Amino acid sequence: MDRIRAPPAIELENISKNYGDIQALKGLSFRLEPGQRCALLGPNGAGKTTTLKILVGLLSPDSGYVRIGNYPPVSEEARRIMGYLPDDASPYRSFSVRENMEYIGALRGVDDVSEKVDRLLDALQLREYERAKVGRLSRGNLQKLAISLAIIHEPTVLFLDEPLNYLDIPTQEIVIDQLKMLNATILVSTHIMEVATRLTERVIMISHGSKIWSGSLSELKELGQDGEPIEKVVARMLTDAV
Amino acid sequence: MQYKLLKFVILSRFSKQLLALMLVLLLYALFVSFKTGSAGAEPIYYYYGPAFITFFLVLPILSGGIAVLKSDRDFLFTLPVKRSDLAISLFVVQLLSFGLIIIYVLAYSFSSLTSEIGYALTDFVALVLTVTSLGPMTYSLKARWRALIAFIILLWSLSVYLGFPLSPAAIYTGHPMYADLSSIILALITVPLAFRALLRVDLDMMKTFSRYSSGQVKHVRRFQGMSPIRAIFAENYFVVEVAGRMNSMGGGGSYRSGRFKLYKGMVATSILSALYYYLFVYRLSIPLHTAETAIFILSIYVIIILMFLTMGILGNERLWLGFMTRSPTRYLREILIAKALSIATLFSPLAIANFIIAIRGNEQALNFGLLLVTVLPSLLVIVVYVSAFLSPFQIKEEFTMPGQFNLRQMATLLPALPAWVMLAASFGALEQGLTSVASEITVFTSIIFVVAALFLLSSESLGRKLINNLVAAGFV
Ligand SMILES: Nc1ncnc2c1ncn2[C@@H]1O[C@H](COP(=O)(O)OP(=O)(O)OP(=O)(O)O)[C@@H](O)[C@H]1O
Ligand SMILES: [Mg+2]
Repeated sequence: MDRIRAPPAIELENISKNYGDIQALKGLSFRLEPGQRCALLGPNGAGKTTTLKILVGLLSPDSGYVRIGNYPPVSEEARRIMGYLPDDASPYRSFSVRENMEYIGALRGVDDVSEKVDRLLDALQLREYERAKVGRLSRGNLQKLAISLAIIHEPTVLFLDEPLNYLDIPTQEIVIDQLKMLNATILVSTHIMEVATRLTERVIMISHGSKIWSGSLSELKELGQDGEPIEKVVARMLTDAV
Repeated sequence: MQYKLLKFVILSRFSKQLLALMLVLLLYALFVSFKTGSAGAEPIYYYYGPAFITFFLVLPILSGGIAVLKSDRDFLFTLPVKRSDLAISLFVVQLLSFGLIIIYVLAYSFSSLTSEIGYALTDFVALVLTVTSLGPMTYSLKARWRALIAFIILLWSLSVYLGFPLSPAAIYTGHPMYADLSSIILALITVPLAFRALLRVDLDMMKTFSRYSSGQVKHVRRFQGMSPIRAIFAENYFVVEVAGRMNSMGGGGSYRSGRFKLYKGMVATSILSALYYYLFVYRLSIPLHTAETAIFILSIYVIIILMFLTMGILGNERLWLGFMTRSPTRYLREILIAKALSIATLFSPLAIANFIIAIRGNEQALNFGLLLVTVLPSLLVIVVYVSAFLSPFQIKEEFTMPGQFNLRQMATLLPALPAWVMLAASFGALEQGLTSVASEITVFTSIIFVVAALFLLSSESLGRKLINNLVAAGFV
């Protein structure tokens, strides 16, 4: 059990993906070491969401391969330890907040589902909406529910697509704390630099489906000329890449 | 009247190819109806006509069918157009998606109505208007009320089989005047109500939407302590979910889904089976043809209904939730097996009634019984696969149609064809007195469909392709 609880490495090797004529990813490769928290940064349409869908095994790449630890993402081994939050995450509509959490908890084989659900309801301040049907939630509360569904089984690999969307500032802090508490390898897709700096220590920058830079946040800061804000550095790198 | 508005409303809902096909179908149906005006009543329409009329009266009520798009709420309804123009445009769209079906499917039966063709035409015009109006009239009611209205109309319309004359379907049972009287009254009630509803559709849509989406669940369902497979069965076997785009053209007013507990459904099917048994064994007075014919036609219907009700099943799934909890193809397989078994269980009382009727000497009942427990569950699986490839749509919001109707959605219904053909072959054999051949064809049909479904379920690569296709279609 301990061996499984240790976060695995993530490897993505020479991935290409086309949607019809659109080349979404072109030979993308990168690797995350066990326990690393990394931001996948890039402008709109860069291929971030596509990359995550391939990493979690919902989309097959046209070529290249993905490894979660030593396993392909569709394997039972990988799925047990993976958590995924898509952008525009929408939970099961026929369920209430609690039912969604219990159902996914049961499917995940979580022990003591009820306790886990109670803990998350309190931590994410969803208690008062426990019985509310999903259709009634505000967009922010929906996002909180989605986050709790993605982490209910305490994953050791976590893929998050724009996780802080729709959240107010105090809630962002709560979510950031919850995510940092997990002992997991984390890849966060975002186009907002601040999200990257709050949640991660490394950055992989992609544009037009290819990697243009990767390194630690401090290395990224050093690229800026005296006191230049990091957002400016990134903006320059992304424009240069075009 | 603004024709631009009308054109926009139609073209934003129907693809041009589909409109062309509908026109061809309509012309063909009318052509056939006048061409085949042979004298002598076609006995088969005695069953056929009332059953179809009933079905298409009930469909728009149950499906909550109203052809309003998601984007209408954000865009069309905010435009400064005259309410009445908008209502007329929406009525026309409603006519195209629900009302005209009556012509497509029943024009053929005019051959049996030549002696009372004037009455028949009047009856049909009134029926087309009624079917058009029922959706707008009822869509904003609670499911319970819609079910009640549908049930009353169902009983009323089917009462012609017991000799009751005052019903629109009585045109087929030799009471044309009463048929006209009842359909005209029906149209006079429904059309104004539909217009009233369409005039204020923008306001009602908001209200309906907020009422349905608000509220809390009364009893929280617990999954605590369940193994994954038990949780999957709790949700996919013990709860029956129907979801489909339901209307004449295989598309639908809205992608609606409904859920009920399996045991409640079985109470209903048990009562229906008892009624069915009683009718077929003791009561059915069949002046024109045999009980076999009636059962044969029933099985054709059951297939159609099931197809409509299951094509949207994946629409309520969530790739990022269920499909992430285990190997995605395995999850797909497990939910589909659970759902197929659920349908088989739901229909099993009816199947048992059929088996008993078969033992008592009606061979066609064996066919129907087997169909219910083998072909239908298999078709569910097949339809889910076909619709996932042809017209996948995820239900993220109820009450609105997700997009245009097009030809692809209609193609989703194609798997029904082989089932019909094989049913007809078996029926034909039975009619020729080849009883053993008929039951062989029946058993063979069952095996073919079960094997096809099992093949789909077992193919790993097909499962992967299906999931990829859903992702590409924007499923989360
Ligand atoms: N289902 C799809 N069908 C066709 N093209 C798609 C599909 N999904 C994405 N694309 C295209 O692939 C490219 C990459 O899209 P992707 O969603 O991965 O970008 P992204 O980096 O997540 O962008 P954003 O920051 O806007 O979320 C885009 O050009 C997009 O138009
Ligand atoms: Mg994205």
